[in-house]
Amino acid sequence: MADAEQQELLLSFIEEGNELLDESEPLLMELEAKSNESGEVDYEVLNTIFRLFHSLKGGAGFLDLTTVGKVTHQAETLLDLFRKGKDTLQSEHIDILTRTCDFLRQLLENIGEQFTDEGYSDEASNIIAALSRHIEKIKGGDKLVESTTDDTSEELTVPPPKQEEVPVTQKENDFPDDLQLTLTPEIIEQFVNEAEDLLSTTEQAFLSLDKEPANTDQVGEAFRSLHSFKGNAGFLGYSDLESLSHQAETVLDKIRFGEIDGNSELFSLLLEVLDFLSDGVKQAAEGKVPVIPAAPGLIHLMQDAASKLEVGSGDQETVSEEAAEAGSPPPPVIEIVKEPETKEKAAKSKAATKQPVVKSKKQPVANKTSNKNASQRQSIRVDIEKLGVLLDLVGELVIAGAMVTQNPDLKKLNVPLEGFEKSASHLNKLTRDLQEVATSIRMIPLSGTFKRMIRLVRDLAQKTSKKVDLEIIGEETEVDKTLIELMTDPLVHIIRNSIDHGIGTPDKRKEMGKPETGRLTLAAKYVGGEVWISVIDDGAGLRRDLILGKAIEKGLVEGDGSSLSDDDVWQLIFQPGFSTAEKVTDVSGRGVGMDVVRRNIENIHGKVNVRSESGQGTEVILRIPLTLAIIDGMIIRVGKSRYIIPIEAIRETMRVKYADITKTMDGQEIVGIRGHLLPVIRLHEFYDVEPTHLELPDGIIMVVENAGKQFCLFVDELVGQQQVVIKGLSQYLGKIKAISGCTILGDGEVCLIIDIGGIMSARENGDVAVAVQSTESGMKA
Amino acid sequence: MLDETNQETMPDEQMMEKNTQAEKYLSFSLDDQEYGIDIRNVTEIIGIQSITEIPDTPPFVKGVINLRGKVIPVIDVRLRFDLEEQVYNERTCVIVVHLETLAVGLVVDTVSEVIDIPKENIEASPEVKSSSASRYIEGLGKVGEEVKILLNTNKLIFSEEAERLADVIGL
Repeated sequence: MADAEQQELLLSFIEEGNELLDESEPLLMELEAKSNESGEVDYEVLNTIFRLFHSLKGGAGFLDLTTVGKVTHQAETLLDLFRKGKDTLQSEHIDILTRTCDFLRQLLENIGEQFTDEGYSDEASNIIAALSRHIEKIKGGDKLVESTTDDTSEELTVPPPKQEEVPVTQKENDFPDDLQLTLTPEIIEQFVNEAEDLLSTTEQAFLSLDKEPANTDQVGEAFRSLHSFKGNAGFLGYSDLESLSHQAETVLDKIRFGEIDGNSELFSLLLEVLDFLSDGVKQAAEGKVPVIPAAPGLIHLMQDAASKLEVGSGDQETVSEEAAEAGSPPPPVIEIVKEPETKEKAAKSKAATKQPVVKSKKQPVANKTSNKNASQRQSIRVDIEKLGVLLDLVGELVIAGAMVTQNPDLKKLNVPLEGFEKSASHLNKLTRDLQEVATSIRMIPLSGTFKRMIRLVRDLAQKTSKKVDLEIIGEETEVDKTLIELMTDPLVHIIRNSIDHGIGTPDKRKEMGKPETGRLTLAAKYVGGEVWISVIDDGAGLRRDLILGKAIEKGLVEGDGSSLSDDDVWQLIFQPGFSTAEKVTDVSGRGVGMDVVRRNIENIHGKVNVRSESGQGTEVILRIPLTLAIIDGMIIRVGKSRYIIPIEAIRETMRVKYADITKTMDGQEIVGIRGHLLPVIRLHEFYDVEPTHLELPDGIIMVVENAGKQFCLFVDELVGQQQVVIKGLSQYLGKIKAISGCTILGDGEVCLIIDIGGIMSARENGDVAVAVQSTESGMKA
Repeated sequence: MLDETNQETMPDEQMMEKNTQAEKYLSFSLDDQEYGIDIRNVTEIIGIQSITEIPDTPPFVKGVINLRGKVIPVIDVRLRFDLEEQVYNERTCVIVVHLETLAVGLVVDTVSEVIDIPKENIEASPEVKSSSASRYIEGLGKVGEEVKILLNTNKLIFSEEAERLADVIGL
């Protein structure tokens, strides 16, 4: 182990090394951009990079860091060849050099921890081999034998034969999988997140360009996003993604400069290209190097399409200001480097984060958009885990606050507590406000999800040869981030159903006297403590006869079902495997959709409602609770135990008289309330606890509702209402019937939270089924 | 061994001696018989407090308690051993153990002390009938004249059915 002095030296070497790498990487990018654009090599920049690597090598040699030394030497050798004009710098060279930088960073990190650069010989060998390959290739075309060649071959830790082991099928830009190790999961995650955003922005731009091909704003937007995407992909060595996005970017560039006029066909093609890029990003997320076999073909298609659309006269004046402002050829990243290259600037960009290069690429783009669009809000990326911790703490604070303000000791004091009450209520208010803000932090507008549906609708309509107009209302409605992802699948299912089964072909619709273009509406709004997301179509509506027929066939309904209300019939479509589609298309019809939808929604404590009118259309409403973990609860007492019932499940509470009670032969008690007959479930029986009251009229009857069905609970007493933070019960206890969790009350006692739906299911499964009256309140609530 | 949220209850010397040959056991008693469990899983010992019953659980699972904001399950060791249940009094203690991420409280009559029992003084227990409470026995530890029944914390907490649960949690 290195002694203290050596450690200090190593640490300052690491710091210096990182700085040098921080300076080199942007320069490499600049080099590439310039070279791509004009084919020239900027020797100034090249020399600077060479000197940086040279310094690094020197420092490494001084400190006996042989691996660093060898790698930097190889890189320096390669750079030297370019310096001497032996070859033109191409992106594959930039690739290997940036990869070298990554590897060096890793080495530096390792040195920081272990004070040695040993243990990386495999990766080092790979990088050195790759560098050597390029060196050899360049030198192969050159008759002059450089003096450095001899040095190189001596210092090569890996003799040439190893290069032959590299599979022939690899493209030059590809590297053995071992080099993957230089990409840390954080870098990949960052790339994936940014890539998804960029692709999404680009897609939106393309979709609007599809309708309005002349919109130069959108072209600029798409161009910039693709450009950033390309840069990031290139940086991580994802060459397929890079080359594909590069071609797309080139096409867009031509449009920007008025060389070609975009049309609907072109944008359709570009949308497809985005799909492939998106697929590649998914591959990257799984830790693989994205491979797009179709890339060369797509590139060719794009080139073809572009050449066909060439405009006779390139009208420079039509280029919008923004396009020019976007800095035309040089990528935005140059903006940072072009400023005085003082140490401060380098330090500033380094100070940003651990992965400065990726971040600094992001900054100029962000600056651009914020300059362009003053009304755009400032935002900051936050680790969602931190938000989770924050929300947990807020929840705990609510509980702790209650434990102070409702502490039983206070009653014992027996003194007036006016001052205390005032402060307590102030505390409560602050806590509530904090809770609101905290939960709103994780809320994201649905627009992202809704926008993804635009594409889906377009594609589905095309596939089924139907015309569909999509209307989006209320996309700014916000929903907790953890729920947003869960919304996509259900919405996709429902939209598929609407387009596949609901909305008819233009001919069919004409026959029915409807406009040829069907209308699909996606709407979101707040209703009470919920977010209601509706999918409304003006198609054929649900067919009661078909659904009943299927249900009877499957034995789900006895008799002819004529006694069932429309709502009951609609509920049948949520049964597993239920589908009345005559054909199973690959779009839908397999009958897996709706029951999965309902299950997903119920898992997040939501509900699904369906409304339909034959011939007019169908509306499916997803009702999602706004806050996950904090609910309004009613504390009830049964004997010595207390339970909490979510307020949203309670319809009313009352006392009943003997006259209202009917008892069936198997002992089931039924209570009549304003003409409705509801069964009574004795909570003390359900949970096997000793109640205070055994006779229904002595206790309280609480009418509760779940999934459109109502029943009554018999309890001893209502204790009070309280805002309750749901805590999960320990896994050790397993699943407790009809309990959704627990909470800690103000007096420190643990209280169980009842899951009304669970009580329903438990009874239906266990006991003789008693007809449970369904109501329309499922809709109106 | 200590969860960040729990208090330090062990004196420092004991922490350092963790790595020595002698195993430290927390001894507690039920009905005049002394038992011991490995101190490494124990995070704290508290007096008995109000327990909220949970339906749908085996009889030895008494319910849950509020431990400084955390809701943890407690089991009655007497009932676990099929001994007669006793009314809890002010001497009744709850030993809180942590197994990986799971915290469980063990209700016992009294808690005595932490003792060293070197490996040489521990004998394997005689052939065990798998259905009896003896399956929780790790070994028999001789301390002077007395014999303490050393328990396997893992087995104590997880019965056969719950062992499947343990697999699910990944313990």
